[in-house]
Amino acid sequence: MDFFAEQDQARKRSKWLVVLFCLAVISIALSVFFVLSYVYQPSWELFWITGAGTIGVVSLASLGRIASLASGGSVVAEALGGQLISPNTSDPPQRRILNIVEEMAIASGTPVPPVYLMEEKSINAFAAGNSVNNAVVGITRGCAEKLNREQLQGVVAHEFSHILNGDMRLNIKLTGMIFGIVCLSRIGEILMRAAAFSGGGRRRKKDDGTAAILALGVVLFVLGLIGGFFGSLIRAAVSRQREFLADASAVQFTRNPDGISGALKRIGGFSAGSKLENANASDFSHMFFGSALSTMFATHPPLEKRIRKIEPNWNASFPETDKISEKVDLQSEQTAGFAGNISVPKAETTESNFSQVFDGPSAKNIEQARELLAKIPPHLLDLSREPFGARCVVFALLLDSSNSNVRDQQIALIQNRLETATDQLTEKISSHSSSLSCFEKFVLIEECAAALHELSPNQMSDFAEVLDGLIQIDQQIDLFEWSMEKVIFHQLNLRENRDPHGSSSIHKNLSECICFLGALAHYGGESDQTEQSFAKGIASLSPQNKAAIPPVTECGIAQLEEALPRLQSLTASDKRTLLSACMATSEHDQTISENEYQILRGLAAAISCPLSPAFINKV
Amino acid sequence: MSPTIITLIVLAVIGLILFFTIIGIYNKLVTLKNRFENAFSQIEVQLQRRYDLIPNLIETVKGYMAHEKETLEAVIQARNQAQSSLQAASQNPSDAGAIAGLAGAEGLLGGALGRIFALSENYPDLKANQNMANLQEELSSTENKVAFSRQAFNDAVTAYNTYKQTFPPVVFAGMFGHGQDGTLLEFESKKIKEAPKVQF
Repeated sequence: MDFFAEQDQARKRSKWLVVLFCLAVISIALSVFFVLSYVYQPSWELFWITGAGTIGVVSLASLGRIASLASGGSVVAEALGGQLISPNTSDPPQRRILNIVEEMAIASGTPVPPVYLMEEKSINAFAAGNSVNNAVVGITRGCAEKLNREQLQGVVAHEFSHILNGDMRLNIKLTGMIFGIVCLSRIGEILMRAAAFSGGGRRRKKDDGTAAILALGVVLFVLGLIGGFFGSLIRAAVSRQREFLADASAVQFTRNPDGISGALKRIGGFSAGSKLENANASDFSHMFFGSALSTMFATHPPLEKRIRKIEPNWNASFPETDKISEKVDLQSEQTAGFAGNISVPKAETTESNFSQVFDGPSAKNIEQARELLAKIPPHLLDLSREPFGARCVVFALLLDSSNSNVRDQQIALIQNRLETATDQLTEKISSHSSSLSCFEKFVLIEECAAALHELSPNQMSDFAEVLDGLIQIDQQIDLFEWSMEKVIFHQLNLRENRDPHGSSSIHKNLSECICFLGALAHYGGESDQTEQSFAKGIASLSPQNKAAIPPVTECGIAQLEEALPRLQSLTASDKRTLLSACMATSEHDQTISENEYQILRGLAAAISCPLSPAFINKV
Repeated sequence: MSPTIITLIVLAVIGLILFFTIIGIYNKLVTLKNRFENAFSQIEVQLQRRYDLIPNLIETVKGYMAHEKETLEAVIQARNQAQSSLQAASQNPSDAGAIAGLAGAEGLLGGALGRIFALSENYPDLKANQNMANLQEELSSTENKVAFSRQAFNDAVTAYNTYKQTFPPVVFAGMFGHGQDGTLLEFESKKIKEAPKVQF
C-alpha cells in the first residue's frame, strides 16, 4: 500500500464529496423555494432569499463544525468522553496500549499520538485528527481488557492506517457536512414549535406569517431528515471501503493476520460487541474500528465479511469473549524494555528496499522500533513520557556540547524563564543524552510528543519561546538545530494548523527540490562522489532533467529554509517522489550520514510526511 | 414584499445566529471542562508516585528513628488520608469538595514529611544512608513535577472559569449544567528542605 497515493486519493474523494454536497444543498434550497411558492407569489426575491438562507445556514453550520473538529483529534476524543492516558501511566493494561502505540508510531515515523481511554464495556477504537501531527488514538476499556497483545497490535495498526492514509480529514469533512444538513431539520423543528405556539395564541386570526413559518418548518424538517439520510448513506459507503483498506493495512503492518482477525472475532463473540453508549457516538460512527451503532447505515462491513477477507478459511465460530479477561504481563510491559517474551511476528528475510519506507511500517520496522527504543536509557524514556521531563529532554538535546560559553548562556536562559529545577534536570539529562546517536535522539523527540501535548497553552508558549531562544542564542543555526526545530514545531503543531498537503507539483518547484538534493549531495560524505549522488537523485526526481549540481553556497540552511514553504504545497504523491529522490541521493554512498539524516528528517517533518526509520538499518 | 415577510426574515436570521452561538457556547463549555478534567490525570500519576515512595521512606527511616514512632505513624496516616483523597478527586476533578480535600490532605502530608526530614538532621548515620538520599531526591523531583502539572491543571481550570464568566456564556452556563466553577488545586508550599542532589 502506498499511503502517499492514498492521501491524494482521499483528497480527490473529498473534493467529489464537496461537489455532491453542494448539489444536495442546492436541491434542498430549490425545494424550499417551490414549497414556499405555494404560500407566496413566486418571485425572484423569494428565490434569492430562500436560496441564500438555506445555503447560508448549511454552510455556516458545516464549516463551523469542520473548523472545530479540525483543530485536532483531541476535540473528537473529548466529545466522545475519552480520558487522556498519561504517557507515564503504570497501570498495566494502559501501559501495554501505550507501548504498542509508541512502537507503531516510531516504526512509521510519526510523533507518538496521545491516547484516550473511553469508559465503555465494548471493544472499539478510533483515530482522529487533521494530520499525522495532531492525531489522537482512542480505545475503549473493553478493548484494553478483552484483547491480547497481538490483537491490540492489529487494532492499533488498523487505526494507524487511517492516520497515514489521510482518512481522518475525509471523516471530519463528512461529519461536518452531514451536521450542516441535519441542522436544517433542527431549525425546522424549532420553527414548527414556534408556529404551533403563536398559532395557539391567536387561533382566530388567520395569520399569513404563522402559516408561512409552519410551512417552512415542515419543509426544513423533512428535507433535513432526507438530506441527512442520504448523507449517512454516502458516509457509510465511503467508510466501508476505508475499513477494508485499513484491515488489509493492519495485516501488512504487523505481518500477522491473526491479530486483527482475532480482534474482530472477539468483538463477534462479545455480548457488548462494539456498540458505544456515548450520546455523541453516532456523529463519529464512521471513525471507529468496529461499528458503533446498529443501524441500517452500517458504516462498517459486517464482521463476518471482514474476517473472511483476512482469513478465508475461517470456520465461522466466535470465541466466548464474555469469559475472557486478558492478563497483562506486568514485567514486560511496565518496564521500558520492549524485548522479553512478547510474541514477535516472524521478520521478513528479504532485504528491505528503501522505497518500502513509504508503504507503511512492516513487522520488521516495528521490531526495529523496539530495538531503537531499547537502546535509549530507560530513565530518559521515563522522563520523555511526562510533561516536566519531556521539556527538559528537548532542551538537553539542544544544549551546545562544544562551546561551554554558549552552553552557560543557554542554561541561564532556562533558569531565568522557567520553573525551578528545570535547568538542573536539563543539565542532568544532557550528561546522559550526549552519548546517543543522532537517530536515537530523533526517536527520543518523537517519544516526547505525547507528553508535550499535556502542557497548558501558557506552558506551551513559554516552552516554545525558550526553545527558540536556545536555538538562536549563538546567532547561528547548525543543521542539527535546524532539523530539530522543524521536527519539534511541526510535530507539536505549534507553527500552523492547515491542510498538510497542497496541489502543486515538483515540476513547478524544481529549483527548491534541487536545493535539497544539492544539500544532501554536498553534506552527504565523500567529496568525490558529490556529483554522482546528485545525479542519482535528479534522475529519480525527473528523468528528463539534466540539471547540474548547484554550488555548495546555494544549498545552505538559509536556502533550505527558503525552499520549504513552496515544498509544503506539493501533493502527497509528489512529496513521495521528492523524498525518494532525496533518499536516492543519500544512499548513493551506501551509508546515511548524520547530516543526511538531519536534512531528510527536517524536510519530512516540515512537509508533514512521516519518515520511517526503516532505511537507517543499512547504516 | 410585505412587511410581515421582512420581519420574519429578520427574526429568522437573528434566531439562527442565536442558535449557532448557543450551540457553540455549549460545545466550548463541555470541551473546556473535559480539558481540565483530563489535566488532572498527570497530577494523579505524579502524586501516586509520591505516595508509593513513602512506605519505602518509612522503612528506611524506621531503623534509625526508633524513638520517633509517633512522627512516623503520623506520616503513614497522612499518606493514607492523602491517598484516599486523591482517589476521590480523580473520580471527579470538577468537584470543589474533593479538590479541597486533596489540598488539605496534601498539606498535612507535606507537614508530616517536613518533620521527618527536619528530625533526620539529628541522625548523621541516616543522613549518610544512600537509600535515604535517593528517596529524598526522588521525592523532591516528584514534587517539582507535581507542581508543574498542577500549574497545567490550574491553567485549564482558569480557562474554563474565565470563559464561563464572559458574556454571553455567563447567561447560559447555569442552564447547561455548568453552574459550578472549577476549583484550583493549591498546596501550602512546604518545600522539602535540601536542594535536590541530582543523580540517576
